[in-house]
Amino acid sequence: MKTLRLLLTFYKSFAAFSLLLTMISLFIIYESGNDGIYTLKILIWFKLFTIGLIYYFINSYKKNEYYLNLNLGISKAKLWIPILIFDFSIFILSAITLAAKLHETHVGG
Amino acid sequence: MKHTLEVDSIILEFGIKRVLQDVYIKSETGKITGILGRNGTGKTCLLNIIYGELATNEKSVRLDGDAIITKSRNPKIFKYLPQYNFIPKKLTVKRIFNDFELDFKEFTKHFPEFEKYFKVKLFNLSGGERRIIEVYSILASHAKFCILDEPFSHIMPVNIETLKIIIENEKNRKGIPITDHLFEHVTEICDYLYVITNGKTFLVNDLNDIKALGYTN
Repeated sequence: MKTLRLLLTFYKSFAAFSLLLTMISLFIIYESGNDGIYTLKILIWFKLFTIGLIYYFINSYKKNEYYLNLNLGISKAKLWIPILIFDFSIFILSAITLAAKLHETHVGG
Repeated sequence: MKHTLEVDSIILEFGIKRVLQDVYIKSETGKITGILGRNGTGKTCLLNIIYGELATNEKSVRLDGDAIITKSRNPKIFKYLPQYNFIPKKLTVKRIFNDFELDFKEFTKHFPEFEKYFKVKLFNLSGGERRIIEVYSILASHAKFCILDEPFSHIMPVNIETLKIIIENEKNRKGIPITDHLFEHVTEICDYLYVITNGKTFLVNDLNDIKALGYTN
């Protein structure tokens, strides 16, 4: 429970920005309509690039806060891996679902 | 049970500059180990090497005679207070005491003025008050060794005296390596005192030794 709380606290420091990027990506897919499925490929790279930027930003400007987690038994890897998997999963699942629905709608119509 | 932490054989270089090269530090349960040195002599680097957060090609960190070869440190064995604020300001005092499994009532016996802060977020506290929470959370939590990097910074004299009492109490159940430029406080409480000069550690006995090594006038 404590681990989950610490992960959540850390994720909250950039969750709003990351989720905003996901929403923008979904909007781009929606606007692409039938081509959304093809746009997805580019957006996956865009998302991975922004994840890299977030990682760089946190390591540059919030690295002090790692010590809280280290003192409570959570290494950087234990901190980042579940958060990035969770964050990327939200993006990829929602993006694929939306792109597939749009594709079906256009093929069906 | 008594535990011993020993560090030696460290070589730390940044480019062509060799920062640490001939180091020996010993810390043990029941003892406070002071580390002094001029700015840039590698005190914080040394503490980070002990804590595993700074990688070096050459080092030997031993706990009870056994080499610690992993990078990660077990929080039940090591706690580390960095020289800067490390707890996010948005956390409440209550949350911090819960996470570190500390008794707030015990804390307020030392700092009664903090009683009103239990449910308050750190950003509502002054810099000194925030630092006291951080120092206490490391110092009082369970560990065999608490490494303290500048615990007295930003703290007013009356509270430094209280912290020194807490450090003296806590040393009964842990080893405490400590560094701070408020060296009078460090020299007053420490059992062993090392000065780092030219990358080397010197075990010193009194203020004359410290002066001779160029740390004070």
